[in-house]
Amino acid sequence: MSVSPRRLRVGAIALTALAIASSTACSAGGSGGNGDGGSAKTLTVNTSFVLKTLDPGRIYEATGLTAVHSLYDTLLTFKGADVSKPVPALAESYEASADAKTFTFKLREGVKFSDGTPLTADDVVFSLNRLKNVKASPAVMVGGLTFAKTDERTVVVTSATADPNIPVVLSMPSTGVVNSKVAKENGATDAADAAKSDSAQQYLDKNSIGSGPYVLKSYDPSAQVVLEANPNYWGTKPAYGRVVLRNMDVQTQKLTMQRASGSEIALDISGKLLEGLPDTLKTTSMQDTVYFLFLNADPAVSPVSSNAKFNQALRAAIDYQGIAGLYGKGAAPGAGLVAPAYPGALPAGEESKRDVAKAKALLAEAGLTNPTVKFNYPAITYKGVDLGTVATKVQGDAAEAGIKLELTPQPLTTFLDEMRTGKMALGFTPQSLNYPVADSLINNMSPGQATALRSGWTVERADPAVVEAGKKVTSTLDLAARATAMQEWQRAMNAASPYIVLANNSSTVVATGDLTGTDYTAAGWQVDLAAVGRE
Amino acid sequence: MTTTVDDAEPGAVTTTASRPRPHRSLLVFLAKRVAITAGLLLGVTIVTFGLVTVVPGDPVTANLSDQALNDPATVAAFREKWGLDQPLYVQYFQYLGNLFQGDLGISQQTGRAVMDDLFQYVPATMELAIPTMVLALLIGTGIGMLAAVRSGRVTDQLIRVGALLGLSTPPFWLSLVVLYVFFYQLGLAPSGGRLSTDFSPPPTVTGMYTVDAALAGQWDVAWDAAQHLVLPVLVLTSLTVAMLVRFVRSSMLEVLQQDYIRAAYAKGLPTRVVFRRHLLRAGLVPVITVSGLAFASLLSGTVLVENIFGWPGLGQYAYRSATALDLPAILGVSLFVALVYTLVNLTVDLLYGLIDPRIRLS
Amino acid sequence: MTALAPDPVAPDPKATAALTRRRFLGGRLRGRSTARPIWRQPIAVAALVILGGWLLVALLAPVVAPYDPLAQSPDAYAPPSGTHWFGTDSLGRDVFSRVVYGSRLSIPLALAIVSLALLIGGLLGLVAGYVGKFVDEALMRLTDLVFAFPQIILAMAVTAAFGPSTRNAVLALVIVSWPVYARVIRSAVLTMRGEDYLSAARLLGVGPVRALRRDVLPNSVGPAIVLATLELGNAVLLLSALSFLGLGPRPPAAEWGSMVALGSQDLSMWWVSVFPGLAILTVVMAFNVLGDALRDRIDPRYAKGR
Repeated sequence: MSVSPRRLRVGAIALTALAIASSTACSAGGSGGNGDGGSAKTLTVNTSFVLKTLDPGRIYEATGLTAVHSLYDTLLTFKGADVSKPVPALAESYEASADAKTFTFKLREGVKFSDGTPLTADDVVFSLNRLKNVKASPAVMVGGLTFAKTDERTVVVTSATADPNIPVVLSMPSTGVVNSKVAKENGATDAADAAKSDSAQQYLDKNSIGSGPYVLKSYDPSAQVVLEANPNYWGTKPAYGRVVLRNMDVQTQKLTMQRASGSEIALDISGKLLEGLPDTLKTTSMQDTVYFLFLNADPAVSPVSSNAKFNQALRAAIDYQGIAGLYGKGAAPGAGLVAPAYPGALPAGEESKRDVAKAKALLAEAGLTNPTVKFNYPAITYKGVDLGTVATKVQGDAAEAGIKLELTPQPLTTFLDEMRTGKMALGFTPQSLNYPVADSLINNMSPGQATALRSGWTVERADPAVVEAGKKVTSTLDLAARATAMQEWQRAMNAASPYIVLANNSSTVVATGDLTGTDYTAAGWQVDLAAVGRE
Repeated sequence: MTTTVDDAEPGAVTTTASRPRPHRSLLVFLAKRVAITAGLLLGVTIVTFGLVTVVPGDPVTANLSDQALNDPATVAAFREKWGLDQPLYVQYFQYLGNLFQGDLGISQQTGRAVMDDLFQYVPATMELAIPTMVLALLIGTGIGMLAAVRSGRVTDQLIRVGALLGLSTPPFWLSLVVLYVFFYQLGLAPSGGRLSTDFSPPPTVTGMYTVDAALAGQWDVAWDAAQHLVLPVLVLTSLTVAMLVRFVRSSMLEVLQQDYIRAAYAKGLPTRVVFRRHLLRAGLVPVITVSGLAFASLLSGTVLVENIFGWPGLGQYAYRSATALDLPAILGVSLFVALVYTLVNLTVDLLYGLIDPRIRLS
Repeated sequence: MTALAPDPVAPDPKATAALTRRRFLGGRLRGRSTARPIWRQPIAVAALVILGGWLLVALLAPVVAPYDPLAQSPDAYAPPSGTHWFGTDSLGRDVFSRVVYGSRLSIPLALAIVSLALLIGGLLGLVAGYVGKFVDEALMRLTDLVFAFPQIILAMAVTAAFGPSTRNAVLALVIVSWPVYARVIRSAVLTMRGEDYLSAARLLGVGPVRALRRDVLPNSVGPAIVLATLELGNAVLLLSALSFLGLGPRPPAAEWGSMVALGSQDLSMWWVSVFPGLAILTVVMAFNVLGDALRDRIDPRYAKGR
């Protein structure tokens, strides 16, 4: 694949599925049977662990992001469920240059790390450079950025290309600021060869060295992570002195929440499982996940899937309402590739509609009788939804139109491997953004871009209108105009692209009735633990 | 069961008279077994290494984000860090070299040393396995003997049917059923995991929460941990007991047919005396054999049971490693399991000789 | 090594152990029949009836099942009722019809696993026992290697590595189960060698192949058949366990283990997992009872009621 690093710079799509270690079966954790979790000042967060590390420079997985957001402060952040505009955190203010290439951050005074050491501009620059040079999964977000301090309280971030969304990137947990002195003592480095020479992960998995509202008490990636309030925190002290994140499969989360008496949160109950929960529980959610099919556009891979008429026929064969129903509460038929939680989503009402007669007619036009395509998907449960169930529904719908899909579940790794080879005829995957800006979709899914090429979608095979619509978005610097351009791009994609958007699903926070501030946020950390209070 | 080194000639009945000095034979026996075990473990590394490396599924894909995968520099950094850029045989010998220094490598999934992972997950599984084995041996032997003594009567029939049921029930299904009944419907037991979140794990000594909590005098923690043991141990015990009952029953029946027992009865000795003098000892031998086997089936059972009860033990670790194709972790688990398995069988073989003098090492 | 010394008929304790591991066939491998005939044992008769019932259900699945097992409907998660005897699952498929069709997978696949393992293991066992020496040693070490893994763990690793599918699941289960047969057959051959059949045959100028066919095979068929029957239940269990873990036949196939897994996603819809679980239970139990009865015929020491 000939992909220039520059284009990947702002890449932020996450097939977050990647990080899921077969979540149905990967459960562990405590009980909830006794149900008196609220007796102490402990907040219990039940979630199906997707967790490999708590090193901000390497953090990528959902559970880790929730924890790291509470352990490390970032320059900017998002408040509550509002992801439209970053607000001050470590930086009390910032300025952006008109060309959207230079951003100047003024640091707050009097911020201390949890060990009492003052936080300086050097710590900020060290942390950001380390993130960039360790070259772990989150590094791509800051790949084209350079960081410099101009004085003790000022940090300047420079981007090689114009990007109005740099402040959003600098609100993400992986840009969290570490105590550079302690970090270096334990093997951390921000040198250019940090990918090889940095050995701080093991230390950072056991110890937190940030300035956030909590400090790390214990870390067990298979069972539980315990946080305790940071005595030196500069901001408002969190209401809970202790937070326990415990690994629990979705099914058990539901049972636990049904019996919980207080101070308990569950992060993965969604869709059908929300039904039958007691009214006393508080539920907040955001439609932030898109489920879509991708057809290979390369005739050498599959003469069937690359056939434009077949593409349209499959689009018409799918029962979008039925699929949304499968996800249950909080889901809706998908309109475009941008989920409703983010700026630039298509309004409701533009979703595709089922028309089996049209599908059959299109197949006849294309001269295809009983076309057969292999249909790959990862055998995982994602956000409480078994992908196999959705894939089976698609297969049943397609069968009614005379299309035969051969279901091929694969272990996640194998699926991703095969997808990357570009030899997959038809695949199915969920997608959520790992920071709340959808531009990265264009940098990946437009014709000729990295993700598009995996479906054999080169610029030559694409409608020029789609390419143009994509360029329009990236060249618009005004955020409102950018959102409008984004909608146009999605309409162009729906008309002619290898992607068939099936549904949007919500991510949900279910909390016991005594809690406040438990809003689900699409910012990446799911819920702001330090903001959770009691009525 | 892994028992032997050399192969017996047919009909080779070792008599007490022909037996060489016992101590030397024991040493030779042990030396041979150690050699065999080492060979076996080497074989395990080759099989597992081969299995994971010849099949599709690149660890890079499993461990980097989609975005990062599009960046050749990030991919190269990862490959270099984990030695994946080396030829296969180099990777294998590096692994072996480290192995001899007690280093099992680092799990790509957890980012921790596999040895550390094992130290954490093994005690969790042991906390299930030990009470299960103790309970199963007590109950299984008792019921099995009862069935043999009452052979043919209603008690025997009931026990046989019960054992058959236990043996035929899918463990994963039984786990769901007890979870549904005892947690969901009755609310009598916790849903899963090792400890309620109200408690912190006790200071680590053995890694088994019940024991550690008791050692630290934290009785409420110990009690809570014990409650979490009930359902998984119940499921595992019922499966193991079923196996034991059938075995004990049939071997007791065999003993009951022996002339010396018949003679004892014929002499008019009371049942109690015959039982204590002859039956109990004779019955113990097969129990020891089968305890090795029961242990193996227990390890299998834990994979399914731990997954359902959210028990962070070896079974779950094995499942997660296998599905994520996490080579160092899979190798670590396989080696550990194979090692334990051979050790258990060795112990079984040694115990044989202690309990039944008719059986000896050769 | 440990020899179960008093019993000269079982020259290979590991074979015995292998059998023991599979429900305790005990040492004596050949035997005369003094046990009660099967039709006079009520439990065995019940098992035969159940098994016969399942075979009929499998054969007549399209007639027995009221719905297409793959047909989806908007009527999802309907509890058991007159229209859907066992309720419906998350895609509105009729659970009863799926349980019925499930028999068409589990029973033939178990038969396939056991026959393949018997064939491969049996052949290797014959060769090992007859040729002896290095070949025997190598093959036996290979069986040790397989025995060093708990069955489900090795099977899981193999299927996870090669990708879940019916073929790979069967393959994995054959890989983990052939050594038992190899051990048992080898043991029978060794016994034969010790018991003059072969030396007599050799004296009479009978070639090895013929000797194997004439003397060894018929004499090892008994234990092999008993073991195979007992293993059928085990094969059904292991296959459903793999499916439960998502490593069995691919969806939308109606496979019992994967149906239980689907039901486990929401415990309150108990019917989705309870009925397929009961199906596994009854089939496995029937195979086990049948195996027991056969064993009692062949090795009467374990016959009940003495």
